Amino acid sequence: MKKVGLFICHCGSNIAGTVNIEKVKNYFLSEKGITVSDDYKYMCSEPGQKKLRDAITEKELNGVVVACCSPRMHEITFRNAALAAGLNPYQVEIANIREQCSWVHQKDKEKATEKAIQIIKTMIEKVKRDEPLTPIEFDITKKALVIGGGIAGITAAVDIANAGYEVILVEKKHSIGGKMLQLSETFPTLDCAQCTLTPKTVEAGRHPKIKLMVYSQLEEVKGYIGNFDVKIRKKASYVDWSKCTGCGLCQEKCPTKTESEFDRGIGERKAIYTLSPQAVPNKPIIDKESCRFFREGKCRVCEKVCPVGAINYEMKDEVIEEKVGAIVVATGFDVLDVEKIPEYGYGVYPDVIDGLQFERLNSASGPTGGEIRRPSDGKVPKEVVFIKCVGSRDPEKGIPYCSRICCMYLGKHARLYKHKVPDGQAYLFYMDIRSFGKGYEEFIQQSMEEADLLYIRGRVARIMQEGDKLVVWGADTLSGRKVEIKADMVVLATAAVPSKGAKELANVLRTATDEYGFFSEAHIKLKPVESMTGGIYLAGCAQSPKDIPDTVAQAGAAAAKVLSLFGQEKMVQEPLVAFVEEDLCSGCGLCVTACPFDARQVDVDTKISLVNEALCQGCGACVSVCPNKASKLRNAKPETYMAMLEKYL
Amino acid sequence: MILALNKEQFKSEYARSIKEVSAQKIMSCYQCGKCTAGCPLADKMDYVPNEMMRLVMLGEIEELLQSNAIWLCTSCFQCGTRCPKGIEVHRVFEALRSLALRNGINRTDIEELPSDILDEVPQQAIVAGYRKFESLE
Amino acid sequence: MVSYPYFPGCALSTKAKALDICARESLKLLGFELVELTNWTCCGAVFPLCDDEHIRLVSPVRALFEASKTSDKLVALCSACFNVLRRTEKLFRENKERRERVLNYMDEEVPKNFADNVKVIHFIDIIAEDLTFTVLKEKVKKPLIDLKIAPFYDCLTFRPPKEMNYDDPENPRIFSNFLMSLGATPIDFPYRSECCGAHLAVSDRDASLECSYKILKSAADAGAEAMLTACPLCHYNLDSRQLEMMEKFPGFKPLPVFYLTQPLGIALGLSTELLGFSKNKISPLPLLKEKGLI
Repeated sequence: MKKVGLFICHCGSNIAGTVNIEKVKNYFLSEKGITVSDDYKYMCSEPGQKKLRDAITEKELNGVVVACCSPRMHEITFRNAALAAGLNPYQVEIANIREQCSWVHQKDKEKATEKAIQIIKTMIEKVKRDEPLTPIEFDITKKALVIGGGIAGITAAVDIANAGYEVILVEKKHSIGGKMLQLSETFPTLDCAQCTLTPKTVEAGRHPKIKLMVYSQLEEVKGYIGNFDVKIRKKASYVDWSKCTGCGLCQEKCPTKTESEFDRGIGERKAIYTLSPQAVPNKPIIDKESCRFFREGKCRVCEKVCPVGAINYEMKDEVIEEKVGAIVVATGFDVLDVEKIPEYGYGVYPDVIDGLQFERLNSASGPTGGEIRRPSDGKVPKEVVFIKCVGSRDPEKGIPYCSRICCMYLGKHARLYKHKVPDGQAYLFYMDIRSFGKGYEEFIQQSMEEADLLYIRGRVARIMQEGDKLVVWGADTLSGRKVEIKADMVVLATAAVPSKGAKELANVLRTATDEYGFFSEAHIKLKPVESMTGGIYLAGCAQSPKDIPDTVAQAGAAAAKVLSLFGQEKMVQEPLVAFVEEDLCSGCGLCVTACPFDARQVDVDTKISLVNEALCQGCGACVSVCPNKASKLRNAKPETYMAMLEKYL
Repeated sequence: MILALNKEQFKSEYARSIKEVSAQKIMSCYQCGKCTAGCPLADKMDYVPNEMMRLVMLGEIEELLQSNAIWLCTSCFQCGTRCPKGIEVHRVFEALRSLALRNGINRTDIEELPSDILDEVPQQAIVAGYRKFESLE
Repeated sequence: MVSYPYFPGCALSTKAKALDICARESLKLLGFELVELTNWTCCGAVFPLCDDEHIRLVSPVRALFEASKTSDKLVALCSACFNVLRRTEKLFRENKERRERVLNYMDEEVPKNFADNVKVIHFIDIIAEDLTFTVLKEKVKKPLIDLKIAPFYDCLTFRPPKEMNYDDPENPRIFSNFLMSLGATPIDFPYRSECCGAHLAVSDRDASLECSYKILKSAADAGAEAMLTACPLCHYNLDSRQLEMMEKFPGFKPLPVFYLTQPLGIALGLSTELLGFSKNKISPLPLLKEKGLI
């Protein structure tokens, strides 16, 4: 026989203002099986909890009902208090008489009091049937998977690896470094991006705890926080990297040239190529699309010149399986397809370029060796128009949000342009200048003063080619004029959008993205690096556009989350999960299809359905489909609910 | 001149009329100026399109009714086509023009055009002229 | 012979009748017939942009109703008519409240349940879609080889895009493709979609003259020998007013401006008197003679 204690909380006047606490308390004093019926102004306060602990010890209670607010608020508080007094916490139930009673029935105190009694009665029935349960514990695979080898992924991987855990760093391209490696110099200090980044890429490349998997993509994820089973596809590079020494002879001799993606189409590369001179790993791949051998069946020059015989045209994709405990998503961003804004003529006029193309023009490793020369004829442009918010803050043609980086990088571009072309003039069309970071506003002001940058407040409506000039029609809203500039080159600060394939990756990971395709955080303020799925964390632009300092900070935070998971001995999970009455189970498997968490499976030998307690979320889908009522939830059996209902009706 | 702002100004009959007749979300304008940048007549207007929008936001309608800008708009629809906020700026111009005409402000007297011009101009322009430039009062 | 209900509009049935004849005769050679609506009134020239102007929709609705008696299409050639009719068609389909208010004015002539399934199409759609440019190319008797024509994309045919939904408003191609199928060389030019000044021709003649001048100059600078326009008002501004431009802008060289249907007529071998050249202030005849096309 259960000895049940009832504790009614006034919640100040939140409950007591509507529900007649005295009446409720007295009602249960005379109920059978109720050992204690007590009340207190704030049960969640320390004196309130003491009341509960003392009663458990003194009256030897083995069931407790606290009538108070929603279980979301203080169930954990009272369960811990019970545990401290030696009572199994799963013998404590909450009767919600605030959200479900006093708050919604403030106008009818009498009926509210009656309803409170009804609610408490049903929870007493539940507590009478509650069994003591033990939290489920399972092991954690203390190895992390980081997806994306840009500055975010590299930072997270190195931080986790430095703490002594193994990391698999997966990158889609065939070397790491991401967008940052394409940049020339970075704001607000104008230090060389490669010089800042390469120590990190090198560190990631040779870290004993980091397994680099470039030219690879995540294909499948199963499992749950602490224990994920992942499959990674390693694409065929047609070069045996275990033999390749990275001498570069193949690249030199390859007869096929094509547009370089790394240079965003304004430079060329060979069909067999490394992404950049500082590539980590410094190993080439053959691009099947452009390779003459793959297209026409003859050539094989690279094979002939390779001194170590590393070329292998027969190579196939490999799928590698790994077990990891946590995943960091650091897939970065892409730039908006500006052809959606046809009035700017991007893709039609060669001298209308985007910000990343300007970075390549200005980069010492870029197609012009760092000289600012326009793509059409290689001339040094003397008048350059820079346009901000191209696609950003443009709900009609682009995206409504602010891309956050353009104000700074375009200011930087204009300043770098002036460093290289001192007699040139830079015009910057802007709507607002958002220079919120440390040292940013100073940078912008200094640029205006030192480089005579002309900021023009207004958007551009149209760009037209007239002879070898680009005619730019803009507005200066501050003087109320339409502006016409005959420019030699135009640089568009195009919006940052989620990287291609982010949505598909989110599906593989079974986590959510926002309306644009950026990965959703669990809480915008309090859980900014946690995804909506346990064990999956977010870093950098995969979550939303951000600059390098913010990206690095977030990557460090994601690593810290992984480490706090790995720092635990075992994973602990609520035991309120499904179980099977084996005598009743016929092994029909309906529960397997009903389960949204892949937690059910029928044992091939015994023909009895099993529950993976680590995966089960206690949703009850299996309970409702089971024709034999063999699937049940712990402490929430159908017969318990029937008894509760009977008491209520 | 000081612009004295008060809440009555935004609710004036004129301000309301422009919002209703144009059926545009005037307050969503963020003054980017793209309308002005593409307007073929901006160089001739005393208030360029984004300034016109701003004055409507401020409730300064009477000033606009006396402007030449409202008569220079040709309804070429470039502004509305390109507005990042989806505002059909040309409809705001039209609402102002219509309000002016309803208040008896006339732009032109078409019958007084020289007959050689009247003979040549397509009817399309004459009908448009009557509708856009001549007060019914 | 496939026939379509046709809304000629005021300009093309009076002052620019010659251009209407050229359109009908050219289409006949391609196996299509334009049948003028029996009961039509002026479209109003401008689509009413104020939300409280209901009565101005009566005329375009009348035309849609007339067309619906025999077809599910209504052809317009004049850009203004096309603009007004097509926007009315869309408004009627999408705005029940305004539909009802307009129909209240039309009790006697249009039934309330009139099915507005009529699609307003442009004259050139008959060629582009029902005939196709590929077939047109085969039907050409005199290809306009070496003729460099700058297609002008008027405001009313292509904007506002949300209502007109016609080609790409920033990068239109249709007239260019049309000219290519006639064997001509289309010349893309920066001012291809700028406004000619439109009806400012009756109120601010200097302002509209300047607009048109810029367009012509832009086309000439790009190497055009002639221009093409679909709009009668643009044609007036761009062609008839070149004499004024010669006075006002030193160095301005006249440029023949074809109406949309004229190059079609020439290429299909229509006799010169049916081409409506009487409507061209700047005669294209010397240019056509030079190219051996007449």
